[in-house]
Amino acid sequence: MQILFVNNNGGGFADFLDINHGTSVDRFFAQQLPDSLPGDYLIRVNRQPVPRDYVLSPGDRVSITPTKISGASRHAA
Amino acid sequence: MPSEHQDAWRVITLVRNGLQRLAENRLRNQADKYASINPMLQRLSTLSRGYDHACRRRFTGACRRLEPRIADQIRQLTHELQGLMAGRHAPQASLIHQPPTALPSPSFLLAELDQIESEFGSWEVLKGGSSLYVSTDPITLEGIHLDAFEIELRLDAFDRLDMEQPLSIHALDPNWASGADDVPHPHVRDERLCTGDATTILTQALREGRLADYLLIVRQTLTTYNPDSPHVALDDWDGIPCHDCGCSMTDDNRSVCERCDYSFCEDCFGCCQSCALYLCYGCLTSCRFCKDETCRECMKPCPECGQACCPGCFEEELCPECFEAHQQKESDHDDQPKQEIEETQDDENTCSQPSPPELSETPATPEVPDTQEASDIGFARYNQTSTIQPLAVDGGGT
Repeated sequence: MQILFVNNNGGGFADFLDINHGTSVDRFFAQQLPDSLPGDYLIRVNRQPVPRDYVLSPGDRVSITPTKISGASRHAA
Repeated sequence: MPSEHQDAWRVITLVRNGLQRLAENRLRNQADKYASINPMLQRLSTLSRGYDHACRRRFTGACRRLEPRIADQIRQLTHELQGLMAGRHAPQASLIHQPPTALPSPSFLLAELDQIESEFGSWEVLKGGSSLYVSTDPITLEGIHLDAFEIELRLDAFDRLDMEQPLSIHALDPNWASGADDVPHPHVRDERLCTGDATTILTQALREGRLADYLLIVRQTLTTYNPDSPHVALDDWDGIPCHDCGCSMTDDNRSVCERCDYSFCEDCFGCCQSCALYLCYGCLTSCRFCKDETCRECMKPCPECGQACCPGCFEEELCPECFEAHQQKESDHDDQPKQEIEETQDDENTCSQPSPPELSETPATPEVPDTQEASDIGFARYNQTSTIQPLAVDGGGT
């Protein structure tokens, strides 16, 4: 099945992805960001926060946004 | 139409118009870059035709004159084309050279506003205004309470997105950094957030009309402290205490002692008049003769009395007091009576000089040779050189 994945980590692009039926949000996160912890991200499905065991449906929109994003100062930038 | 629907419709219209202008500007900018090589192509074409004409008529001299000009034009064109290619592959260029994104639909943007309301509690557009406002919760970074911030997204400034974010950050109850009343947050100065790592994802979110993601990213940037490059570090937020008097200083008006490396205010700071290093008064001292501020490294002990003295006061490697005393001593020595000196000198001569041979004033009479001829010559010569002088003796020692 196909879902829309909005990855605000790194490039920040939105892509359609094919995933297996019955994939939970938790499992999807582990597949996309295997070296990261879910607690370090804001995870939204269809613009809403969901529990980690939420099972994705076709056409769902999943967005992942880091909770820690470093700003800078102009003289350093 | 209820007011809130009017506001939502106003936001949707502004966003779509802004993104439309952004897309058009990008295409226009890219077209200008491609067009910039046209004059060079024309010049090269002209030179090439001239070369062809000269070649056909066997004007070898003309051909020789044209060749370096053609080579130079090719070089310039190659350089320009390489620049265009490099621009296409630059990281930021990936956003410019993506296919134009379709404008977000009104229903999409309405869903964005709904998400903004659930994430931030509310959003606001001022009547007649063109900015969308949301507020964060109070923010505390490493124990420093900064209170809440208002995020303003300027919906009429999307066409400048490639140059700056259409964003302003307002402190609702600011806790300004010490000595910097335009820094209410380590990464905000003069209401401008330095987006750092967030720049690319912010730009991409806005290009696609993902307003909720945009504002979430801004909020997460405000709630994250990057100690590597703040406008004002949190450690210095309440000011840096002077190591001497304890008064609070900002990073701009503090001075660091070049010896002890502590920070001092301008009242507790000076300069060594000898080596010109900027030092605290703890590392400086005062020369007891000239009163100049001198560092302890530059102060040297007088070899006579051992008292410390600055380099400027030394005379003939002596401190002023010892030098003056020495001068006085020499002056006293020069004024002793002449007789004493002569007596002293005579005593010195008797004791130290070998006894000269006893001499009489009348030179001895030489024996006259028997032979008359030899005697005439030799005797005459002897009489010319027969005078003997007594030995000269040096008077006085040195």
